[in-house]
Amino acid sequence: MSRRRPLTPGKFLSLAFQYVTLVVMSVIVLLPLWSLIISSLKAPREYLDTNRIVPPRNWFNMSNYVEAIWPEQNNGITIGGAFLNTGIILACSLVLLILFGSMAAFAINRFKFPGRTLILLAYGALIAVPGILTPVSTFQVLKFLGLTNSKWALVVLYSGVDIVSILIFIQFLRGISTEIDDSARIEGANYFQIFFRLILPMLAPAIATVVILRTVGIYNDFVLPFLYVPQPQEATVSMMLWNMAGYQSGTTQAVLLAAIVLVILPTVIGFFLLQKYIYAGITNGSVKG
Amino acid sequence: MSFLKLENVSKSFGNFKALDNINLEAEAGAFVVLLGPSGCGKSTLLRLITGLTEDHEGEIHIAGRRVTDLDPKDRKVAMVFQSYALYPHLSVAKNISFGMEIKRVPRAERDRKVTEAARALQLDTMLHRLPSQLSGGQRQRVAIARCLVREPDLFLFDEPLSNLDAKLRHETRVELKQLHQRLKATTIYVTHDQHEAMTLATQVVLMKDGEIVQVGTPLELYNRPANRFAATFIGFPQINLTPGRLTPEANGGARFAGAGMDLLLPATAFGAPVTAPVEVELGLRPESGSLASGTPHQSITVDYVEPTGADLYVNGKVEGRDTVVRLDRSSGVAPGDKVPVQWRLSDASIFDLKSGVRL
Amino acid sequence: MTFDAKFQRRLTIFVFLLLPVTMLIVLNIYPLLQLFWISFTDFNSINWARAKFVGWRNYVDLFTFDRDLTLTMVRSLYYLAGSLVQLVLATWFAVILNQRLPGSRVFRTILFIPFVLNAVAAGLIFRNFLELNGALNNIAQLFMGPDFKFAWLDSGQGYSNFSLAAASVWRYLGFNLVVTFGALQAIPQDQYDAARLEGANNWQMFWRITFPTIKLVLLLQFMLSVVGSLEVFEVPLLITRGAGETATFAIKMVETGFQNRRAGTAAAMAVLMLVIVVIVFITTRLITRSRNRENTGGLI
Repeated sequence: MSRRRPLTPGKFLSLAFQYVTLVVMSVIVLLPLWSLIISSLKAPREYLDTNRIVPPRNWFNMSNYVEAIWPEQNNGITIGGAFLNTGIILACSLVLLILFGSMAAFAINRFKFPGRTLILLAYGALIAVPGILTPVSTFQVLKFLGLTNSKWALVVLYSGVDIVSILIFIQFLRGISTEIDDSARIEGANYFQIFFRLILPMLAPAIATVVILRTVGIYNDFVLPFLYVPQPQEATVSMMLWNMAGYQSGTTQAVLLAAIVLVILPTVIGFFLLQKYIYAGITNGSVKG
Repeated sequence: MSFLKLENVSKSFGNFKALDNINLEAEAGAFVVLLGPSGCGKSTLLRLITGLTEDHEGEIHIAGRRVTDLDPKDRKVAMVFQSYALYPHLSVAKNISFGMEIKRVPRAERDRKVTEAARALQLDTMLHRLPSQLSGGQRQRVAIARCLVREPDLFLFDEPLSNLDAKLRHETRVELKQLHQRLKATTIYVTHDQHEAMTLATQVVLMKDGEIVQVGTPLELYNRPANRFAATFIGFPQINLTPGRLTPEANGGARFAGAGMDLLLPATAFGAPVTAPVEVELGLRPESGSLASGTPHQSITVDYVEPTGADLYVNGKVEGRDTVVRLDRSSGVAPGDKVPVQWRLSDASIFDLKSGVRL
Repeated sequence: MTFDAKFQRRLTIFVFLLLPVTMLIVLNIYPLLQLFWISFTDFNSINWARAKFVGWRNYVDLFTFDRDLTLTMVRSLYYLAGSLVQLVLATWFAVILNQRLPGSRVFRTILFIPFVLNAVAAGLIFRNFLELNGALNNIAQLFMGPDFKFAWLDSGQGYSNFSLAAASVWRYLGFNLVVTFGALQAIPQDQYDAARLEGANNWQMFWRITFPTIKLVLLLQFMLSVVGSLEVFEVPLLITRGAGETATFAIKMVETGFQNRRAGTAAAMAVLMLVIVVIVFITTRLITRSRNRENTGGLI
């Protein structure tokens, strides 16, 4: 039997202090969320009469949620419609982004051609130019493409390849031996077959990383829909919440809170399930990338 | 007409001349090993034969066809890569049939060929596994099976044993040899391992700095190395080289004097009769030596002894020069001893000191 | 034919890069160039035909007539201060969690949650939390008496920016935590074991082993914080609708460009911000270049 070495008083104090800071920070992080959840379960009258930290009388009072999902009047879109819009945008732009990103990475990693480093440099330099910098001119481009006030504008913007995704793909491609390509060429495959039948399936882990990172980014984004797609019918979940919270909106606070819970639920659940991959993606994407 | 024929093949990468005017022929059914240190151009040569590397000078013929301008897929070659290049997301069966799927071979024929190849390489029971679920040796067999179903004119191997551990490497080598004897398929095999070359090849092509040094059977290369490089690259422990002076004698032989030795070498040791005195190096393999019963040729001061079980390799010095000799394990030599050695002179190789070329 | 292989290769490169590079040019590079052009015109966001070249006037205005717009940049300092606090806290928690104490994973999960929240949701949650009747005042009332009420978000007051900076820390702490944590995991445990054998305490181990290794990652995060605090847009917009004291430079820029239809001035503001961002990037690059670049993998 091994026996734990007894803690010296100094060690004990240091450890206790560490835990205290962790607990305090966790409480600070969780308090707004606690307030959100309990408030979203309170009936309108109760919401006004009680403070925002005591639990609801009835933990199963779903009236706010019912009102959030099937409102008597809405601002042009229901939460279901917003989820649908977001889903369409997510699905389309992820498919395109994965395709474009992996294809560009394949070309850059596997072939030598003039302009190769220039393209990579251009992607890299754009890190310094976030979307918020070019609203006026990007708006002009979207207008020219006839995409203003349409969710397809967002699909186009989100499927533009970003440096982090392309680097994740390139990093992964470096680990796939070019002997795979050579072998397939001897067996009669052309480069398209090599890419779509061999390389793309082998990129699955990289694709998963990019999907997770970009899903978090796109689902949670507010800036791009706010700038380019204010049309209520085309609202993403972000814009729907924004409209609900507007001053003209007739939505009561508690119902708004219920809608917030509904919007954050998918990402929080996804986060609990995929934590490991999210951490790995962030570490790969931001530090090594 | 030879089966594989390379004519004046050269290849440069920028200013670097990777292959310089290579001429090579091989018969049908030959097991050709391209041997040489890394960077000697052997892998480049293999890739030129496959067509994976393009833009070279000279001509390549396989099975009587000029393939110089053909794409890899049209050359009827199949290759086992160093990493085996198995497709990790496809099952063994799919790996073997990938090329046939690309060529739209009918399903029934694909299945028949996969089954056949799998049987030939004892892969029948693992057709549905993924490459990651196979051992190194099994992976290599899948790579070979993938080549078999193509029914190629030429089998190519690029250092296929380098990823295996020592024991498996031996077993796989034996398997390769048996497979070749069974199929009689013409094979080009690249390695830097002289042991593989000696055991597998019917024809060794020794290369250095983009040029062919010597072509011959393993024994020819071992017994009659064309120059100093060939002599030192093949054989372990290395051949002993002793500098000295050669003077012509009557009857076509010559007298070698150097490092305390004064030897009369028979005419058979030379390609052409020695006509004038010349500075040379005398090459003697460790196993040409034995304990002297009469007057010794040399006397070795022993530094250390390496027993291999069957023999003793005695490492020592003669006049300050490192010398190795293989002795019987019963000879009981110890460090510090002075061992009298006599050499079998019919095995000697003599190289010109300046050019290193065999005399 | 060899010709085929070469042709096929060129075709592949062309086809594979066609759309990605077109999008890069149309969506990123062209707008960026156009931004520069617009900044030298009096374009009104709608009618190109009436846009006139005005030279440096928009830029001159930013320091004279429109200097109130430019001065909002000072409000970045609240967020910069916030992100420094955030970086120190994140490093502290990352080091603690890296010791694999019992419960580490749970704490890491909790601290990271705000980062995966929808931006609008996170903003509204915090707005709800800081309202006059919000949970924070409810908690304060437990200590300060039932009449205590503090207007944390009164955008007429300078201190509202502190509340917003705090909201920003709340939301992004987890991100810095995970990045630093990732860098810490690259340090082999035997370095600590060796140090402990030689009698080093925690403090010494941090400064001698941990800090030198994560220094560059911290610097990188610091740079991103500086850039991020210049570009703050959504946090104030979502919580206080960017009113009064809480309007940041980016909010003013969008307002000028869209609501006020002064695209030329907005573009000049964007270029000004871009210049500062690029200076920050280059400075960081110069600092890191003189040291080993291994830990940032060449990003900067």
